Amino acid sequence: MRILIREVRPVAGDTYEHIDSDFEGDVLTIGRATDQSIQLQDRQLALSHSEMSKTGKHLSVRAVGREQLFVNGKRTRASQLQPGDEFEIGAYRFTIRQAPPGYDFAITFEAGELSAQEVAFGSSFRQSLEEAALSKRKLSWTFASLILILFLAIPSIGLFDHERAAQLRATPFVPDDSLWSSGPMHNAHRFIGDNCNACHVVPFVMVRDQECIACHTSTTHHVDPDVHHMAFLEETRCASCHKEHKEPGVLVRRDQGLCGDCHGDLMATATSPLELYDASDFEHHHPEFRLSMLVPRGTALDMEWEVERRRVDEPDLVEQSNLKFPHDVHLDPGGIDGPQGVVRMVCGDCHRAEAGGAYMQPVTMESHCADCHLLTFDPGAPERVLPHGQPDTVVRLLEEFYSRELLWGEAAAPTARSIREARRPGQMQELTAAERAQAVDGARQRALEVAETIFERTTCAICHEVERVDDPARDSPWQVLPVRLQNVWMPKSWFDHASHRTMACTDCHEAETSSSAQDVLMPDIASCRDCHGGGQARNKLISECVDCHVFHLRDTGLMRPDEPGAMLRPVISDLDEIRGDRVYKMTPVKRP
Amino acid sequence: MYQSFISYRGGRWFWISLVLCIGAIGVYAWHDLPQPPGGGTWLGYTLGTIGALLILWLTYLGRRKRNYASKLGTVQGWTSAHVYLGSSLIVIATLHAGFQFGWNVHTLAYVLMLLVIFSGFFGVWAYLRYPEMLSDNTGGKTRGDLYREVAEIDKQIMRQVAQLGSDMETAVASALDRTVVGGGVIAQLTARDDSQVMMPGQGLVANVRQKPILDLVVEQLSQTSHREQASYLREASNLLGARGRLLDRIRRDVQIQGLLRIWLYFHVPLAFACVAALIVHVFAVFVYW
Repeated sequence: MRILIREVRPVAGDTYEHIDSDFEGDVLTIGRATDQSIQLQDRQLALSHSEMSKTGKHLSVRAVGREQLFVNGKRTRASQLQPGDEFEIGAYRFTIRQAPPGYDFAITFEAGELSAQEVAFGSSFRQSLEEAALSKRKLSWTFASLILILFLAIPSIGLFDHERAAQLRATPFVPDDSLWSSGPMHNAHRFIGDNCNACHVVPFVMVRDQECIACHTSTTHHVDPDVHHMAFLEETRCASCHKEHKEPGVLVRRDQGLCGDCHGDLMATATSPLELYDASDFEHHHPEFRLSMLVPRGTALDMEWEVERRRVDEPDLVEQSNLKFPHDVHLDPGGIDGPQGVVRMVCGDCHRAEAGGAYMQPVTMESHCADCHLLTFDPGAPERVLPHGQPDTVVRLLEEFYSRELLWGEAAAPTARSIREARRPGQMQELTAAERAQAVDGARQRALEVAETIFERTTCAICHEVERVDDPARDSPWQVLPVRLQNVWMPKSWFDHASHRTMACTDCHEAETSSSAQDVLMPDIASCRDCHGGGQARNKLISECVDCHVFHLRDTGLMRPDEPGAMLRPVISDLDEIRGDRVYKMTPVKRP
Repeated sequence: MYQSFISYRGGRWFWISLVLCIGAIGVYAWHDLPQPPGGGTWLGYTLGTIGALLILWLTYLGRRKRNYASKLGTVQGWTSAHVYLGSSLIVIATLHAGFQFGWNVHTLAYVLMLLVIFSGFFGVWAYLRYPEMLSDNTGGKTRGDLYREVAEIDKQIMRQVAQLGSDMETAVASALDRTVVGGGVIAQLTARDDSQVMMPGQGLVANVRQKPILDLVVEQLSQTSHREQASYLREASNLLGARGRLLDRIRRDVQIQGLLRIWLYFHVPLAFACVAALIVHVFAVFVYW
């Protein structure tokens, strides 16, 4: 269709000018935008307001979207138009005219009574960001609401209902409380996954000890609260020291303050005097090492060991193991005479590390001494050896040996003539009672002679302290004093031989010059300090308290969930079972 | 003498913020913690409290600047403190976090805070740079003045083209009517010219910088032999050129005004998003304490 469009503009006073334009097309658009076929300078109007098109032979007008038209004074959305009809869009009035030749239709339009400001050039432009439909207020509300809904409201749904929280976590693309996590969990706790409520049970309450102890059932206490009542320790939570969600993930406090805060000045916090000495730094504030020395009490037949704490540098410090052993003889670089010739021994021949590498396997007669220290007793029978560790059996065995020798002539020595040999050949009859008594007495006599030599001068006496005991109920009048070798000298600390493997044993243990088993070959703190410094050491290994000591001591009670700081029962761990009596339980003693 | 908020009272807030930052860094470097640094240490809580109070106070500037007067200093002083203390938040919050970041609400709050601060930096730059450009561009005139000049030129143009026949008159009138300044956000910020013109025989075409209509007038001028008509056309082309230059200045004015404010459309909504994230952050820290 072709339309003649005539705009009527006031020029001055009552004069008007006509501006004509042609339209050719199917749809004539009217609105405020510049791409409209007829652009109206009225900022109240929509960018696209109405459309005109041909229906049949007639022109019709239709409002776009939710706009409205007034055709011949009546409000409408669409209408068919005849010449003479009028319609209004905003302040503009349109009139349908008789089409001149060559045109299908003709329209005139003019601005109605608009204020000068409204029709002024530029007044319809959007020249500020506010006019460009941007609103700081709307954006602010939108952003803030989105964040509060997504990250606070929705994850909070599961706050008081842990099942619902789990549902949220299982639903993809739905925000849950894992977004609240302040950092990754330590590797040891990863298996808990994103189940926050495994530890965080009550909202706004710090993680309670009972959640930790639910899994860590064998965690022991630091002190025995029955002996040392320490309010401070009872108020301390597990999570006070063991911090989760940290980067790097460190669950164990290693700083010196962990120990030094109290142990730096124990008397300030302790409620009773302790047999403990202040320490806060290995290099600068640490007492001399103390050893848990085993001290024998009682008689040879009824001997018990008690533990005595002694400074390693005390001059009269001796080990009372009841064993005789010169380290220097055994470690003689020139060697030592053995049954198969000269043997050159090294520390490792007897002292072997345990599987974990920390402590040493126990030294035993059978494993470490018996190769050289043969328990033979008769030069004529070098294959016969005595049992170790049973004096009664030794004496009985000797009696049996010499009885047989006397009766069957198995003695190697020419002096020992058997009774059987004295008989004439062919006369194999029963011994008379007198002969039997003579044989028993002879064998007993001989056995005691040999036993005396063995127990008091040779075989046993080389290594053991032997006492004569007067007990008719016993076969042996000798008793070897029981031997207890120290194995863990410093049970209050932790030492790892494996990590010191690059050093020689004798760097710390002066065995080469030790001539007596009474010598204590444990190093003092000064020799450790050759390499180990304190927490702030610059040119030495930084050695903090927890490198050698632990907080959760194994000889105290369990931490109890419902009553922090209280003892539940003494604990013997599997490790203690394996070590047996090598961990000595200490009874705290009040310092005078 | 005019004093910018940057150098307000000898940069008082600059020095205060600097001391705050150096102090925080110093304590952070000095303090010896039994655990990796983070919001949960005593220093973490301290820095977090300082940071949170700062954020709330900085957000309050939006409220304060609407008051004409206040007993608590001038708006300029507040703006100076806002800029410098806001910048110090980068240090305070980073140390508060102990350089721990992750995909969680805590880092969300931190990132939003950084976006607010950096959009603020653009604002500072804009306030230092654009006001001068504004007055250079308009020569001290208001936008209304410029529009009045355009309207005056338009009247003269119409007077010239009224003598040139219906086609030319319609085309030029449509060029004047369909001139566009501004528009959407992008159009305003890029000073895009969306003007159109109804060209005879071509319908609606783009009329960027009034060039097509000017070309039409000039082409007509080259073809006419009528002296009087040529004089009208020459005058019309001069006027259309002047009109185009005026419109350019208006568009530039709209552009600079837009650039001077556009950062606020990031700064303010992000600030509220940051405050919301801060609320979530504090809630999350203490709900799973």
